[in-house]
Amino acid sequence: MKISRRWLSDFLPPAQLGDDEQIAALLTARGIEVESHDVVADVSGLIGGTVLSVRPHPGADKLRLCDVDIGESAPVEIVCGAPNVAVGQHVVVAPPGAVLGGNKLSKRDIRGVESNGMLCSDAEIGLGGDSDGIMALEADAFDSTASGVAFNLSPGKSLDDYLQLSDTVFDTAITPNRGDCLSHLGVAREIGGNKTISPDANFTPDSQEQFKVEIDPKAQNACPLYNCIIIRGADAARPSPWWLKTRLLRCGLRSINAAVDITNYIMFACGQPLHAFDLDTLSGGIKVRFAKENESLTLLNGDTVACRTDTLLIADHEKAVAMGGVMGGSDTAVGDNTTNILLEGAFFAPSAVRGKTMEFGLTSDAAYRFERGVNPLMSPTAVQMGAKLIQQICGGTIGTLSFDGAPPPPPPPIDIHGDALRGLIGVPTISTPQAANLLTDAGIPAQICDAQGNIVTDIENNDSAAIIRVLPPSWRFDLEYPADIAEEVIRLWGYDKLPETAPPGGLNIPPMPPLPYAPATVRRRFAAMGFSEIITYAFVSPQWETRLNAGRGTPLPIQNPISQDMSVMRTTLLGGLIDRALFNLNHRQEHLRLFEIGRCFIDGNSDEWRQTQPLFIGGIALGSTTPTQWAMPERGGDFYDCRGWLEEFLQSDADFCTQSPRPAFLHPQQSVNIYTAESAFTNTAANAVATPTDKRQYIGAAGVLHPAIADEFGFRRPPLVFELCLEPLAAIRRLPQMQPISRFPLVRRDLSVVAPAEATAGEVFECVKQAAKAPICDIDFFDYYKSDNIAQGKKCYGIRLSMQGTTANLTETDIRRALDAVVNSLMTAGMELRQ
Amino acid sequence: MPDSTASFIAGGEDIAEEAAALFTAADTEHALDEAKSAFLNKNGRLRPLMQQLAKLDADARPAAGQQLNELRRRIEQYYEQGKVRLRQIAVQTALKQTIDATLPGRRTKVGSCHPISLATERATTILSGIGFQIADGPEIETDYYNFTALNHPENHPARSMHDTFYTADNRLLRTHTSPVQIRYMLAQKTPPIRAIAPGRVYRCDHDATHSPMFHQIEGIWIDEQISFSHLKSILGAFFRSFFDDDNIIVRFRPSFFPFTEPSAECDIFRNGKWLEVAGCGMIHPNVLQHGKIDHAKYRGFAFGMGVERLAMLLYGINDIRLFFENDARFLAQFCGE
Repeated sequence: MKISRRWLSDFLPPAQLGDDEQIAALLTARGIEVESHDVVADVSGLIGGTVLSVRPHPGADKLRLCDVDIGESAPVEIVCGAPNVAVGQHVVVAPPGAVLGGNKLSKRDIRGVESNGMLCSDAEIGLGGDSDGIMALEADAFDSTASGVAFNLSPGKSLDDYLQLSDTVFDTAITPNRGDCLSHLGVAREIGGNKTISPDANFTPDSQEQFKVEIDPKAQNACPLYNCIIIRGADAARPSPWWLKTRLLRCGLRSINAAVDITNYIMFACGQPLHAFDLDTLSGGIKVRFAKENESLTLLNGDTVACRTDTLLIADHEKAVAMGGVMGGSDTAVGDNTTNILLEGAFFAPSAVRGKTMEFGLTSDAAYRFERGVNPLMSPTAVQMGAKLIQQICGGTIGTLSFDGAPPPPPPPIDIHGDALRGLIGVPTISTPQAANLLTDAGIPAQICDAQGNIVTDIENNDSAAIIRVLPPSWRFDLEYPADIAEEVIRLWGYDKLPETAPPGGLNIPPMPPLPYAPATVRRRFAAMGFSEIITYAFVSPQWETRLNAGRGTPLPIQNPISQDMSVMRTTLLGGLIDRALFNLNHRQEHLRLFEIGRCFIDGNSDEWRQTQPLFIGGIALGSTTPTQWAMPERGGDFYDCRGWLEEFLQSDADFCTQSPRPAFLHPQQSVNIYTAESAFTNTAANAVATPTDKRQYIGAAGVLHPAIADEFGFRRPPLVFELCLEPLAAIRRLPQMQPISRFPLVRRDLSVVAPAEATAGEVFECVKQAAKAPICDIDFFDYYKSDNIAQGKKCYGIRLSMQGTTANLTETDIRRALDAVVNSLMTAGMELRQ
Repeated sequence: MPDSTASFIAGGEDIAEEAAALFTAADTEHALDEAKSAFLNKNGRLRPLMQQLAKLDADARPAAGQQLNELRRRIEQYYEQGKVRLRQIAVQTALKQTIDATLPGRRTKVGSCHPISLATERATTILSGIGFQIADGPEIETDYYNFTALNHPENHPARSMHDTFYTADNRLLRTHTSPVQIRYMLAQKTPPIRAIAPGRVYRCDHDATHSPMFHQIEGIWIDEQISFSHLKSILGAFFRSFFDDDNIIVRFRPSFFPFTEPSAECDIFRNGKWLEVAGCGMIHPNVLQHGKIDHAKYRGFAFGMGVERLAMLLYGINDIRLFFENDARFLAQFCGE
């Protein structure tokens, strides 16, 4: 809801209303979120004037010279370009020195005539409209005897108040529990609490005339109180005065006519929806009742609806005239010719209105408020205020308030124990009297009781204050339970002052995210790749250690081993893996993939246990790559299977390297060393931690077990083995950062590269990789062979390049250019292309 | 009707018939496309008609032009109909392809996690949910952390409860996960402390019911208000969750551990039997002192349980040696866990 600062000041003494920023901050902190606040009509120094004469401008056809009375001894001459300027008009004058749209005006020469300011349009002073012509005030604006709000206006007087200029509009988002804040009065209460000035109708009727009102007993819960007042002889179709139009404009409403504008005005002022009937269309009196099934009613918006038996109606003695709390009927609405008005202001229970707009597909400001709760005590005052305002603007005589029913009884008091309050919000420093004072100051009457529930009057010197007893104000529909009171207290005290207190026992948040190389993660990933986890003893046979020679120093002996076979601490996991693989082979388990995650114990002088008892993962695989089955031929695993597992496991976190010598237990050719890749530590999100100084660390090796060792252990065919140290990988924290996916078509081109016998695939790949620039996004080896058709000893590689534009489709030229770069690079390196 | 117009129409009819035959005969998409270009391409079969059209009298031309358009539309229609027909044939053909769906599918064999790992993860998941941090410590330990700091004075008879492996450099293989208590207290410094330490432990005891290497999970909770009854509640909640059995009852029996006071053996009543599952107690003030925790202000509990024992109960494993034999047929029973 849009809230005007000027309008707020109707309900708050100026001292209670801070500056715009303070208001916005306070409301937001209280839960009335201010989404934006804007200064509107940034103008000052505007005064009233009367046009005394209009004559042509000597130097310009479209300009005119006006003599304007601005309350000085003589009229001033003002140049005006508006077509509608006329003698006798009361106008808005911006004299030299006035500020308009943030700019200060001065006397100005316009085509040879000095203009003493300007006549303003409504757009220029922030009142909307189009700036086609100047804005004319009401004809009786300067008539102190005229009806209307007394602004005591005359030429030369400031128009600030009359036009409600210089204002700030706060755009607030009101949560559904705070229907009471859907008005300026409600928001003012939130700011000023019990210092808020409640509206007073100051009402005296002109006549005793009343209208017959009757609430059907069955409808008394839905409409406990119905008020109305007759205004006779009013001119309902009169346009609203500017101040009223401006205020509605600030709330986003366009002016319709005075009668309608006034009902809206009262609703936005104090939250009570009103409805104006054309009295002459009503017969007999008002009956508030539920509809008969399918009873028909044509609403103000033109819809004819078939009511249900739970639809609350306002009816006269013949027909339905309005849907209670939702919308009036069109046949009884105030029109241009209306002179006699019946103004309704009732209290409809939220339950009677809820769901009705949805059921009938309506939009209604009144229903929006009633379903959230409207102050039941406000309706008599509001309807009297409305009647008085109609009289002021439209004339007429006012009858006496007519009503049936009574406001619902006040809700019962709510007791909350001070300790419960403090316990719930976790602020031990708020004392019980302090909490009660916060509530009372906010306009929520609160008393202090002792533990027995007796009211304590001497709050200052009383230790017996135990319970806060709250009497919920009639406008607060959201205060029902002790917890609601606790919320009020902390809201008023300030959510921003709430301390951060860890719950008892403290917070023990596990480290996030699950690290890619944490043992539990590694275990699941290898299991998913077909490996089964084994657990073997950490003390092993010294013969295994000697034969495998992992190069990690002398194993640590145990002083009191169980047996010679378990007498040294292992430096590698491979002994146990080989031993268990053979055990299973002996049990005719021939398709085997085993892994173990465990510590190895490596000789070191450091006391730092992590350096000397590092965690490893080792694996062994033998037999067919797939279990025996009808639909796939069996294939024995080879080095490339082994390399593939580790490529899958390590992704781009590792480099595979054949340059350096491999561990002695591996086939010297069919094996590879593995290092952490530098990118493994840089490819992480900015907030990831741990970058080891040595970014390229040795983590292990993989390949075919050395044939001699395999033979000695008793394998007929050397198994595939690998062993990696998990410690250097533990520092890797991965948080994928999404790369945009190109929506443009993917283009693939295959190259058939003939390489010299001595060139390795790694060299060919590196050569392609270095030369491959955007739009090449992917390089795949899809073929490798040696063939008699190719020159002696040469090798042929099939390389597929995928290309994709990121901002546009690739042209043939783009593709050609990218391909040529790769081809040239290959040629330079001594390779050829096969067609 | 002038002759030229009549022959134009007749020519059109001939082409239409020819097209209908050709499109109906086409049995591949390629043949359809060929037929389409043969008629509709710039130099296709309609070209002579178009040339003819240009030569017609002006007043005959609109009608003839309309005829030509109609012909073009018919050929396009034949083409579209042909495509629909081919798709229908393809669907029918696909439907006639039968297989024996009772043959097993193609598989790569899935691996498995070791039941000890599974039981450990099951326990740590539950305990992490209660807020226990997972801590870690070395397996080759010093006498200080394994015994002295845990209130086992030198030469105290309590040390003989453990059959300890000693390494050549006069360290030892930890006999329990309890040394992590001290290491964690020293690292963490201030309570509240809530940690568990799963891991391998070693004792020189090797027979049908004892393995020289086995696994424990240690747990500690230190804070100002921690009590013995809290311990019982945590263990009860843990075992009910671990065995997924709300009926489990926990029983404490007085016992002795040098590092707890009071100390208890914890039994659970499950499937009609009392089973010993953990040792526990309130952390001895001397242990807190070794962990540099103010034992006047703080107190805490500790518990330790054997993972093999838990895994055997959980999975119905009847021989501890199976865990370390690592028979593939045993391991495969835990795939998918």
